[in-house]
Amino acid sequence: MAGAKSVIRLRDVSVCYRLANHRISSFKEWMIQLVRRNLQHRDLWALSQIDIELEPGDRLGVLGRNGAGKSTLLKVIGGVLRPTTGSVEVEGRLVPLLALGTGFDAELTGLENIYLNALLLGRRRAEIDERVPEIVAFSGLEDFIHAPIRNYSAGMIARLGFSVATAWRPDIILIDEVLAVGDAGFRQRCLDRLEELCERRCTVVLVSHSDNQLLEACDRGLWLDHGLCLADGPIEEVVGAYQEAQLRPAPEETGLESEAADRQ
Amino acid sequence: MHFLTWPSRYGDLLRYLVRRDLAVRYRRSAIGFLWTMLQPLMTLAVIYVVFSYLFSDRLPDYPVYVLSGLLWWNFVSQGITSGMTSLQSNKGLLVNFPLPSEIFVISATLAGLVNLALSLIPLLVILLVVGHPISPALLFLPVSMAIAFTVVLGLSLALAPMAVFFSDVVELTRVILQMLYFAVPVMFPVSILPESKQWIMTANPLYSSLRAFRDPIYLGRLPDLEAVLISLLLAAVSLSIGAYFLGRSRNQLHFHL
Repeated sequence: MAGAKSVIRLRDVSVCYRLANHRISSFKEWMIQLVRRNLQHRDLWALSQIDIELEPGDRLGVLGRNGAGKSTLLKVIGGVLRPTTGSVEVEGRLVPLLALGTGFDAELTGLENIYLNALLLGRRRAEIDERVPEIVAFSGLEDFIHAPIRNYSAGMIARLGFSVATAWRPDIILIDEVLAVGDAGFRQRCLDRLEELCERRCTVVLVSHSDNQLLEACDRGLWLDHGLCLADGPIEEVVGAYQEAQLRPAPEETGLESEAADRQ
Repeated sequence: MHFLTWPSRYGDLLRYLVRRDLAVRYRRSAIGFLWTMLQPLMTLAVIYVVFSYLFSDRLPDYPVYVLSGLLWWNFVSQGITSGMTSLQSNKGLLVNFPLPSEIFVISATLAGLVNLALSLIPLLVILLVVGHPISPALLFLPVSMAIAFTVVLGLSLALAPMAVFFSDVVELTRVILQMLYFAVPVMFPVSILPESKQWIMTANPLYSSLRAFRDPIYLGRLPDLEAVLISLLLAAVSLSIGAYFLGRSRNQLHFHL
């Protein structure tokens, strides 16, 4: 896998959600508002004009307050969301490792979930058959693999997810806060595995609220606030700037979304 | 949508989702899939007890008429109900993986189709018990089922994104389905209405799909070309509406789910 090409290029990427001013959840209400030509919504820019270029082996840590656009960024890179404007280019095999237990079904057994999750990640059945023993071994869940995962602990589910996600040695891995759960031993194991992936020139994008984890796992930092990129540079500098800003009294809401034009 | 690469890219996943939809439904039930076969028989028993005096002179082999209608109806109503809500019930997968959203609607509808195929077994039993002639026209059934499948898939694809934006769509559809149950001749003959009013039933495009399914079983002949064409038209229209909506609403779906 060494030397595998994995490049992420985001050019001037913005994502806009259309928010109804009053949440209209009934069809009748919508019709009434439509007839009155009163369907107002404001545009919420979850990401504005983001430019990112990542080379193989880059490890980008994304930080920012809740709602800053971090998860939206991962979804755009992961191809789940299409940007409203701008372009996204991703080369290489990408694996998203998103919130805990996504892509798992509580009623299915651990083994069945390996299949489900790997299929969701775009693997074919035959490939999975081949790789199952290795996945089970890495997860260390041999004794529980035929039990439904509703009986699993959070740590066990995280183990299984991580094992499947990394089983095919992706070129790019997107991690959203998953490493925060599980015991210290598991976290260390994940960090080791990430280290190993990076030696294979795997590109990592990690979202975390733990400054220590970011400093440990990443070499580059990106600070998002209200969808804008406030800083992009070496991880130590970005974390430093972010921490400093957190110490200052929270500024009034800059209200990027409220200045968005109300439209008909 | 890339129709050509779709099956090879998502075929394995689709098969797995169908299996999951089927398995989860009967999980923790002692007789599992037997329910699929028992449930229509039990409904048939109730309808037979209540209505056979009314209709059996006009409808010889009344149980065959009812059961063939019921199986079709169960597929349509359950298919639309589960297909329409499939985006919500697979929310976790939809918002986290780069998958085409139609895959969940298709898998829900396919699971219904498997149930329909399984429930042909009790239908065969009833045919034999009643002594209804078994005609070679029965070989047309796979085609009828494919037509019904396309109709249900089309309607579900059109309703699914709307159901995400407006929760009333789900409730409204349930009510409409309930009304349709009586507006389509599932358990009574069209002739209970005076001739001048029969269009109320026959104008319904769903009725064409029912005829395509029931005629080979009950009448022992191929369905009219007209019935086949009308139901195919319904399928094509709703499929295009559904594909259009789903294609347009992807990003907004994420925000509303």
